[in-house]
Amino acid sequence: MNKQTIDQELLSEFVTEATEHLSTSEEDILTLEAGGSAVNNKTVNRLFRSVHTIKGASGFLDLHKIERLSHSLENIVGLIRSGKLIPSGAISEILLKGVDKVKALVENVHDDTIEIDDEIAACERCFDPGNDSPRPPATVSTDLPAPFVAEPIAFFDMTRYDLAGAIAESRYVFACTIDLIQECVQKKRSLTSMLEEMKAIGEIWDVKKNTDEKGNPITDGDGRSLCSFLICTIIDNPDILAEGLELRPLNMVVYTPKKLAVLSQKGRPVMQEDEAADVESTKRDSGEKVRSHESAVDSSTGTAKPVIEQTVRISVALLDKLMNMASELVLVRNQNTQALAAEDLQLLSITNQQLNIVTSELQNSIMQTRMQPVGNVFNKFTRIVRDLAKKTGKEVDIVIEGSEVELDKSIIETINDPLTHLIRNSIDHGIESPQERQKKKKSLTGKVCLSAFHRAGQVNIQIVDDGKGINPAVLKQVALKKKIITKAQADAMSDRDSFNLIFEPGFSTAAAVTEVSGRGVGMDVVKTSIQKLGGAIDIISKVDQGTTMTIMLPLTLAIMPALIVSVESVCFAIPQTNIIEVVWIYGERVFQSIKMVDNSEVYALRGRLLPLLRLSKVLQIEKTYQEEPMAEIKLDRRIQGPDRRQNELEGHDRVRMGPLDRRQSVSNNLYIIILRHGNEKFGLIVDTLVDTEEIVVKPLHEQLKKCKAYAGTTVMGDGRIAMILDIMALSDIGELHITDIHKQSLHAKSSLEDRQTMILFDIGGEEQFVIPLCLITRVEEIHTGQLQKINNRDYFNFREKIIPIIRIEQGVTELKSSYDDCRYIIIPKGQNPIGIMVAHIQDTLDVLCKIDSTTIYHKGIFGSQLINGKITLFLDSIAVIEAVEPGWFLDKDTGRGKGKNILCIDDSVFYQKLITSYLHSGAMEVTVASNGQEALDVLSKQSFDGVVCDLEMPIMDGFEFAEHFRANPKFSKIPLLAISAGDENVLHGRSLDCGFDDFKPKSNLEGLLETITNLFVKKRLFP
Amino acid sequence: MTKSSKYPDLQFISFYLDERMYGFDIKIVKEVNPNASIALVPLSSHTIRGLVNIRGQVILVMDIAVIFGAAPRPVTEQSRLVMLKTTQEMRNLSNAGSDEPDTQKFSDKTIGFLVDSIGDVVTISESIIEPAPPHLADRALPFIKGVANLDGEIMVILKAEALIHAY
Repeated sequence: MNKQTIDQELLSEFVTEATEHLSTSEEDILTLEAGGSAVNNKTVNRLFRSVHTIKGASGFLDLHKIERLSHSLENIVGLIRSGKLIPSGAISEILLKGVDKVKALVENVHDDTIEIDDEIAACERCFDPGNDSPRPPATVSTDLPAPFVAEPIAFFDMTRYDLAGAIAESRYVFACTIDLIQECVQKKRSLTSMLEEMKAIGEIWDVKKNTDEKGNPITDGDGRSLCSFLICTIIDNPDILAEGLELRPLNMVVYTPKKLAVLSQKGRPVMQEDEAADVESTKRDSGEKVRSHESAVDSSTGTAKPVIEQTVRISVALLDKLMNMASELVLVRNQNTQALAAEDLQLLSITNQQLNIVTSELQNSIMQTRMQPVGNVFNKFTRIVRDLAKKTGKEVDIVIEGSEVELDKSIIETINDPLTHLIRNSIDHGIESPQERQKKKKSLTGKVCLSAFHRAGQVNIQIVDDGKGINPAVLKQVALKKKIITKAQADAMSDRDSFNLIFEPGFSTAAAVTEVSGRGVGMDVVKTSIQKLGGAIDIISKVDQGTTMTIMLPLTLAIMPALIVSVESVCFAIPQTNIIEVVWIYGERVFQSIKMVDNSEVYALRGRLLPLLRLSKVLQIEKTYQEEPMAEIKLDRRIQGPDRRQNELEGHDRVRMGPLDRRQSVSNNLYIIILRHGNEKFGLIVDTLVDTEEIVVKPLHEQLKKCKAYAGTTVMGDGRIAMILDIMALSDIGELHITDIHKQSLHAKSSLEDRQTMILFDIGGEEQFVIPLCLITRVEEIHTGQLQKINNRDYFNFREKIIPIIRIEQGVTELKSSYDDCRYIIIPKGQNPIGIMVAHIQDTLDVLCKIDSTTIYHKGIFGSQLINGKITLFLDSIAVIEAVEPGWFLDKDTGRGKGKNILCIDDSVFYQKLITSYLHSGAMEVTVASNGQEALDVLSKQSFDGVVCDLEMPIMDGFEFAEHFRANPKFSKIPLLAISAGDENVLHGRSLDCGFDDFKPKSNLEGLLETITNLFVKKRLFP
Repeated sequence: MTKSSKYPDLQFISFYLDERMYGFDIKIVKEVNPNASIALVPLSSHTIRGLVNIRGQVILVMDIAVIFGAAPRPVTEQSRLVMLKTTQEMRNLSNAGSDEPDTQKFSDKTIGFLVDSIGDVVTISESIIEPAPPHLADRALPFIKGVANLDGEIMVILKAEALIHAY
């Protein structure tokens, strides 16, 4: 190794170390500035040490510029440390600029063209002891234009920000000279306290005084100790200022805002800007080009410079752990070899298990080495916020939480730019100016809270500001204008969804688009960057209250657990983070459960409609099928999804299909993978599930990026290649309109609800009955011996209670029955359990209710329908129970409902009957109507004591009806109850808002009586 | 088939597509692999055959025939994957001092071409390479560096750097 390589290594080390020191230095300077005169010793000492170290090291390595500059900075910090200088805004600015320059020098160690003269000059002005009279310093910076140089103000140090701020806020700047002996010593007040008083009136930009180490004024020949200071204040009258400060200045020069503006425009700015400012710096007025210092190649000279490699800091504990695991791995490997040699399968399986464990642990630990705390990125934002706040004249505080949360190094690097953009947005467009905030009665200082935390297996980064929020109406308008959405979409869009409009490319509500270093970062790029990392971003905002932006990121990119699925034997991997659940449907349910809504397929999952995508369709893979194994593979030309023939099937719902019928075969099965899409879900239909695996993500080839559907590739355990699906992109390709679906779901609900699952049974006679499953608690198989006869009634022991058993033929006397020894009890839902005896349970089926209630009508029977080719009677369990045990449903409370006249509005005959039954059992009279319009007609002719109304109906739905109902003063005293098969959480509140008195879900109609009678009471007491 | 001459000799690896002989400059070819179990990538361009796993690396496979406008080649026992070097590998070569091809246009990742069968390594002198005759299909012209007549058989020398961008 020759000297050159040694130097190269040392240089790399220096660069690494110096960079670290410089980042802590920046923090320290900011801390000192915030602390003001209350200088934190620890902080200042640390700052001093950092700068001192850099100075020393750079000197050793012959990096003269760095040495000189850090020397100057060290001097300033020394003064602060000894209390001679207060880290005011101006001083901090000089320090920060100096630190920036040193950073630039360090990062471009080979570049000789970076100049430091300005910073040196600025530093020197700082600790140049006071002068007799304001005059331009001997080392005049060559940049100062003539007007400035001649001005006393040039004698001081001030920053562009301060100047710009003063001009923007119409403040006055005073350059005063006072005699410290007179003002401090004789008036017996310390310089510090005097400065404090000055601070109360305005901002001190710079102070030049002649004091010794102890802070005592040093007198000059005239017995004076001159001190000059530059103060920026809203006070415009020099006399008032002097009086307010109790000073008698020897010299005072006033700069009005206008004069400042004139001066600053006449020439180049006072302080030379840092050319190589770091990437996060804010927009410069003059629009200077920011030199990117990422490439190692110096474009001006064209030669390749040595690339300084990226390094990572790892805790020694982690390294030890890795070492241990490596040795464990060796042990297991040896055991494995032995077991194989001995052909001992059992031992082999043991060692394999151990291998699994060690490999997983090893993998985890290695992943951890790449994990870095997000604080590395977050801490930079303190500076950015400070600079930007000053620039925009706003007051902003930034609070950072969760800096210790760790993320993969590559994610942290990529997240930097988007985060910067978002924070800048918050301050730029979110936080209002202090005046505006005062008008809104908010605190003058805006708050931006940047936090990171773990949730649901992901890392969340949140930016919360208490600014003016985002107005959804404005967003929609802009989107309309830019033709990003249509009017219909805008109307249908919820506020929550409208926030996502911000991410559409081409969208910007700001009058002037702010660019970051010429990279043209917009919100759409932010979203794409985050999505590329496998993450998501969400915005919630309230006008005048603030905005919350949440970014969700996976913990690591390299390895992730995934579900391998296949379509036509092509395998794909779906990252597990996206998967909510998997549903398996087979046979006919494939056709029955998947409905079409507006040309898209949907699946009803636990009451909610889920939009579906077929992976084969999205990826344009042709579906094939085989009649039998080894038979010819043919193209599957069936119309996917609900069989068109289904319309003909209605009324013959369960045309018995033989087992050979392809429609019924189990191989006709589907897996629906329910996936997370932002805050919504959708289902992806695949052929088979292959496996769950932890896959190594290999980045996508350039040529495949066009496909958009993929996020990467992976090699599975068996060596085959699987494409990793990009869920967000899939939904785009499949043109999934999730919000549309939800709108439809309410309407579609009504067409679904008339399908009821029924239990088909008989009582030993010729007739066939059905009873809806939703009304049943339980079906029990019993023997005659289990029944106990007491007083000519049967009783049965059910769940520690004795319940009475009735027979249908007791209530509907015309029926014949015949029971075997083995029979069944159907126990309907209800407060008091009672059992209905039946002879045989034949089947459970999904029936489209088309009840014919005229042909056969009898008390205890709703009506009839042809099911399975046989006339089937709908059992009115309530009526039957009432017939056998009168007053069963009536308890003392519901007795109050007696004799009331109720209007029941529902488009489903089934529910009309059901509710009528319920109400009859409470001894109420019921009239039915099929929709809102009909109901209004009926209401005009009859009067009712109460109304029960379904929400989803054709012609006029429940909400509209309620509006009309409540609009009529005649009806205001009548209780109005809403019922619905839809989502209770959503509809309950909404129905109450529309004028309903209460809401009952159709799935839980028991207690309907009680609810209605309670309403009567309430209405009487609180009309 | 080798020919000697006083001009500097160039070496090409020859292969066959639909009975015709083609060649790549040997300096850009990394490997010839008999593995042809290609995983399809739905929605990808037709010129991309798919991906193949070679020793843990995922290699992109392109079909020259499709690039030239013909039907995709069937995979047979004779089929081979001709894999190109990456730009990094080519740069290493150039650092060794020899005359290297323009590395900018190649790929960072290994790309392979599916061929019907592989021929010999052919050493010929630069002088016998002629520019592409105009009667060849228009589609193919941008990809042809030149042709060489080897004892009656014509070898069409292809521009790999153009082929890998045809997607």
